[in-house]
Amino acid sequence: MKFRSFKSIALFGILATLAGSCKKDFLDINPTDRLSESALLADSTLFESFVQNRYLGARLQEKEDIPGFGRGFTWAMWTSLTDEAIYNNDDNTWSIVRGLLAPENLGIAGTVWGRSYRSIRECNFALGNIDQVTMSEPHKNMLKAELRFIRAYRYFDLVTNYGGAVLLGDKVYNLGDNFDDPGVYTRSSIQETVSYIQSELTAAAADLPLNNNGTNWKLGRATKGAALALKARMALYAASPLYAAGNWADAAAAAKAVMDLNKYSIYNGGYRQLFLTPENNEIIFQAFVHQECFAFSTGNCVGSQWLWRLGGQYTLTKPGR
Amino acid sequence: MERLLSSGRVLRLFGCMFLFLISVPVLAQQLVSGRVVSNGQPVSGATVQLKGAALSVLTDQDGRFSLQAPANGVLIITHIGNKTQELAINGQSDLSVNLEVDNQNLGEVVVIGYNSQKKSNLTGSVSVVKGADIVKSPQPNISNSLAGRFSGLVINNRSGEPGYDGSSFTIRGLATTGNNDVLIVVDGVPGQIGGLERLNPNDIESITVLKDASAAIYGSRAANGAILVTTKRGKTGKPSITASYNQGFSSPTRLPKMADAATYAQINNEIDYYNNPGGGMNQRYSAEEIQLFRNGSDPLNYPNTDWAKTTLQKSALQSQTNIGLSGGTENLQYYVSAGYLNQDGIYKNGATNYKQYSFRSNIDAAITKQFKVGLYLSGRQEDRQFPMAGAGDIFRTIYRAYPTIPAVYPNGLPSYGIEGNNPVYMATDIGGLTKNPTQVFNGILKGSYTFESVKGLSIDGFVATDKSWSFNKSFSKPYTLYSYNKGSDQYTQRVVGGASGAATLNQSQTNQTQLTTHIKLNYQRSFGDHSISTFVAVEQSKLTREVFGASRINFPTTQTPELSQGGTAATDRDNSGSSFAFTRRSYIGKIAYNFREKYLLDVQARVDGSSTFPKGSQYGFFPSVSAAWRVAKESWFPQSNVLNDLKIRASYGVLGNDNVAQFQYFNNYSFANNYVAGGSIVPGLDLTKLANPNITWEEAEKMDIGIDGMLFNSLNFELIYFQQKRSNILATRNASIPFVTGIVNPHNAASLVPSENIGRVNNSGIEATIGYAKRRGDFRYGISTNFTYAKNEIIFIDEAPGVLDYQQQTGRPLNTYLLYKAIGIFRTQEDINKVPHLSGAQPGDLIYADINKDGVINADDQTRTDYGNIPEILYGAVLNLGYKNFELNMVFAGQARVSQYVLPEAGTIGNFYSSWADNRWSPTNTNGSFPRVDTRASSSVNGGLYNNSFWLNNAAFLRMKNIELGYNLGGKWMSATKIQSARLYVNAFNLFTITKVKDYDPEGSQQSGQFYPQQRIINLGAQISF
Repeated sequence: MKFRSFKSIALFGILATLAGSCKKDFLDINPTDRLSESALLADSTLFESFVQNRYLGARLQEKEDIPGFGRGFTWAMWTSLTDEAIYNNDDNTWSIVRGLLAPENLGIAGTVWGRSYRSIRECNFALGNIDQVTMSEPHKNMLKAELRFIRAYRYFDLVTNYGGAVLLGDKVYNLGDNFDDPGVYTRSSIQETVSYIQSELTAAAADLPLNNNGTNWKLGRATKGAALALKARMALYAASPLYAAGNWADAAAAAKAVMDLNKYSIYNGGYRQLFLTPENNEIIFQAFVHQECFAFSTGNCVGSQWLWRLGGQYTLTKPGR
Repeated sequence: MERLLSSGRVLRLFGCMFLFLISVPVLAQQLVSGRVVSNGQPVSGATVQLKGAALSVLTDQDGRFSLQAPANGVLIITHIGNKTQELAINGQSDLSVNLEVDNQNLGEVVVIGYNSQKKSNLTGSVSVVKGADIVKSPQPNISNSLAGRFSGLVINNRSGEPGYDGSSFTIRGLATTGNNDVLIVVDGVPGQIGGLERLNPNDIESITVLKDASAAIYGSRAANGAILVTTKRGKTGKPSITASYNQGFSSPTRLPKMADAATYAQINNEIDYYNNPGGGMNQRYSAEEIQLFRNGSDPLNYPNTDWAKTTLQKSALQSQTNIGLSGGTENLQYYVSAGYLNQDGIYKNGATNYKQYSFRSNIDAAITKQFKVGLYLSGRQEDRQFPMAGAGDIFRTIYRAYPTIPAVYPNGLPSYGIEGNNPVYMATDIGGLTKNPTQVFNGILKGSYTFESVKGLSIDGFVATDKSWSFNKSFSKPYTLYSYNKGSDQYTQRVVGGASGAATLNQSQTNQTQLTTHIKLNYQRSFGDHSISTFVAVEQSKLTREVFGASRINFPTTQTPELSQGGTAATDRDNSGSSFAFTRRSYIGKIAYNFREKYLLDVQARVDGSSTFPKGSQYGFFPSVSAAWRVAKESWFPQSNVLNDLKIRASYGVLGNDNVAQFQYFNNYSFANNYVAGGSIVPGLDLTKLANPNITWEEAEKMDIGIDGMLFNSLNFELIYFQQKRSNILATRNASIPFVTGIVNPHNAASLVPSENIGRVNNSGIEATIGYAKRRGDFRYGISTNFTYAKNEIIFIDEAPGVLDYQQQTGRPLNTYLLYKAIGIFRTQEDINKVPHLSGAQPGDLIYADINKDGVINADDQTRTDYGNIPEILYGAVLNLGYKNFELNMVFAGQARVSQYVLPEAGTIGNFYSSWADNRWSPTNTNGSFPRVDTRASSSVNGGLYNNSFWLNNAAFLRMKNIELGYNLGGKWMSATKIQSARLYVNAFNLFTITKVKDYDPEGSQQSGQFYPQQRIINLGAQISF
């Protein structure tokens, strides 16, 4: 009997060991599907992957694809917000037509502001931490210039949609900051916003490479020409009576600066081919859509899109839709 | 005698589980006979068993029995409704047994968290359902068998689709803006993989529901209450085989009646007239054409299609087969069972089917007197099969498709339906199949040891492993529909299904594993008048999940539904994968003390650690205390026939809810490979979650006061007042974070803003239960009614500043709707001119109340509704009637103070419910009770453009959830056979419903009414035990 009870106790010992296989770090789970900030900053490849995705914007509505800059591709046309049309599928247009705009419901029009500031915050985070990342100084400077280009582009979207923007500088807001502070909401004038965008683009153009290459600055990333062209576009708008924040001479000079790069010219291969030839001299800055993105209807793989381009009057549309 | 059932014998038993009947060796036996009475009346059908032996007999109509038994044997007499009695034979040959009536099951032991308690000594609010009651419902999904049976459970069956026909339930209604899921504990394993719904009802011994702070023993997972399932164990006695077969017929509880073709044609004319009044009343169909729709003389061009009738069969078959074997010696008890379930969908030639194969083997063994082990194994295969189109889509199409087009042309070609959706074909396998076989395995190894050296001291523990493997294979095939052109008399082929005219394949595999270990030290002893029962325990669990998926498109043929046989281009392939792990560690303690079972006190505490929270704050403390005073046990308590029993009890505790996304305590960066550079997609990282380093538990403070008692020796009652305050509810702060901060949540993806402990919700109410049971001669009857009122109130959620106070959710119940208030229909232009109205309002439009009296109808005139679609009042009644060998059991369930918004997808884009079509306002029916028809209800000023209370239904109902009429075969002939009992029964689920809701089942929650309808099941069954 004694032996048997000993056996039982031994068995329980095993059970107890199992139950109490008390690894001290039992509750510390390392995720396999996400990275922490320290991991991001410790690896230059990961950090650059973060920077590259800043060309994309957050998807903020049901019926839109992952946008680049601006509004992206919403399924509803913006004419549906005017007297010209009513969109029979709603897709966030009716609330505006109905006059139901409210702070908690901005309808289809609620995306540019949030998307731009989200990207600005991410750019500011990257700019604020890039010096912790180990990489060559020249490449670091290119990434800094790229981030400033993207950030300036976001402000460009803001000023063209809303007028004077809230200029954040390098500020990164965090939860717990005082969002009731009026400073959070104080908008700068159009003039100040335009000047900021232009000075940022000037700085970005200084460090961005003239040409893309197939290794560390692939086609699709910003170049000197892209920054200067955006600056020229800003100067053009600024000179208009609507903005009244510049003059035509400056606008012409800014455009001339792009031409003086001696890199761009009118494409002569035919109008159709202009859109089918990825590398041609007329394109200053381009965004690609990869066919893989449309092979599966998973809806999570879309190239960068942008609404501003050389001509300005064509809307880039995606194949298959 | 236990030696005769040696372990070898048991093994053999398992070898041929259900085919083998062992014979009982006869020792020195004599014939013993006797009579069983209760309250002076003979008891028929009572089981008389020789203790420790396999032999048992039933009493006849006069209560008489006889059996061979040794002179020194002991008989055990059991009968439902009576207390079990043991009687020593002592050499007598004619025995008289008087069974005590067991009105209240006072001696009944109830499984509660980590141990069990005499029902009379409970200090918390606990409800129990017996497995024997659950099998009285022909619905095989256990979650559907709980409605109406006891107070405190708020439950709704939202869909009847085989494989997804479970009920959603909460304990005492909603109490949080977060997750309201109830913790399911099966045989002591919290959150066992596989859950509650798909357990075999025949394997259930009992289900206990912990409604108040008594659930605090489950700490961080118990804020929403806990449901404890206990499966059957073997009992000492001869092996007994129980087999049952059920054949059921299921059909929708209700389907909306849709407008016929002539009416729909007329409606189309009206819509065109409203859009273009100058064009007159026959812009689309002439009066002659409408006549053709009506008389059916031209089925090709002027059909009258009833899409529901064409797509659905009258009833679908379901069957359940179960067999169980149980028995055992003093040292070894076993319960083994196998079950098979087959449910067909309601579609004609439909692809929908659910099959389930299950087994269970619960074995308890005493190695020595002190050391006991148990091995509980169960597994099942859940085979789900569906057509490629989801049930929601099929029913959406049934209700949308025009009655003015045929489902199948007279020449047999399938029609194009609506927008390429023809429900008659969508429901079949013509467009391919989704097969989703899932296997679940649960194994528990338990052990317990009672120390001899210290009286009352014991230790027990278990290791439980759960596994599930879920495979999904969806092969979508293109198929051809036709549209007929009257002018050219041509049928045009149109290919639908698949993608780009080719077949596609999606395959995925999800594997889950959970390992739970638990060890517990118990001390239980009485010292004179003082009894103490206490334990401390350690428990930990780890849950892991692995998901793998792959897909192919552009299959050259539909003959080869395999991944390797698809399109060959690199862009024709895709794959995905993810994994996940979650750990918990807990320290649990409880002290239960009572003084003469008169004053009872339970103190419970749990320290819970969860990997969801950051290091340093992974642990939370969840204490509870409850006490009861059994007043009736006081010496001064008057002995009378009025108030026979009285108990007053109260509980208070803090419980937690950790059911939120993981890893929110650090900034999360995830790959989102979407950017294209240099001709290919490049790796991209996004910030996907901001850190909330202070994240902690949602807390529920629960308070409960209850009175239990009995009146007139037969009427038992229970009254409970409860309240709980949820705080620290993990919710994301959305509305109050300005976009300019850049902290902006993406759409349809995990929120960037982490959950913060900001929400607060209160919930309070009452529960009442009154039961009555009586027996008069051959006639037995009992009724138990229950009532629950649970009201919640949002104390804080993150609402945008400036929301009008009558539109705020704060201060109102969860899940309310924000709607315009429809107060009538404009009959004439004069009606319109009298009151504020929308610009362009026409006769036939709804009148909206000008809530803020500013003379304009705008967004400020929306108000919050009183109720959402979770009822505030639930009530139920359980009736049992018995006469001789007949039994009739009924369960009624009802709800009140509940609203459901349903706006049908009607217009030129879909057909109308007859209730609307037949009662619509029109220039010729200006007294219609429904507004005028419009192009799209969803964009009409009377519908989706101004969502309003006209479409809000009072979803109150009273429904016969369950009824069973059973007949127990008995009599002398059976005593001569080996049959212990045999029972024939007919039962039904959702037999009838009383409600004001017209077109859909009031338990539905789909806001367009497009869902697989709840089922009414009528079932015939037989059960036999050897």
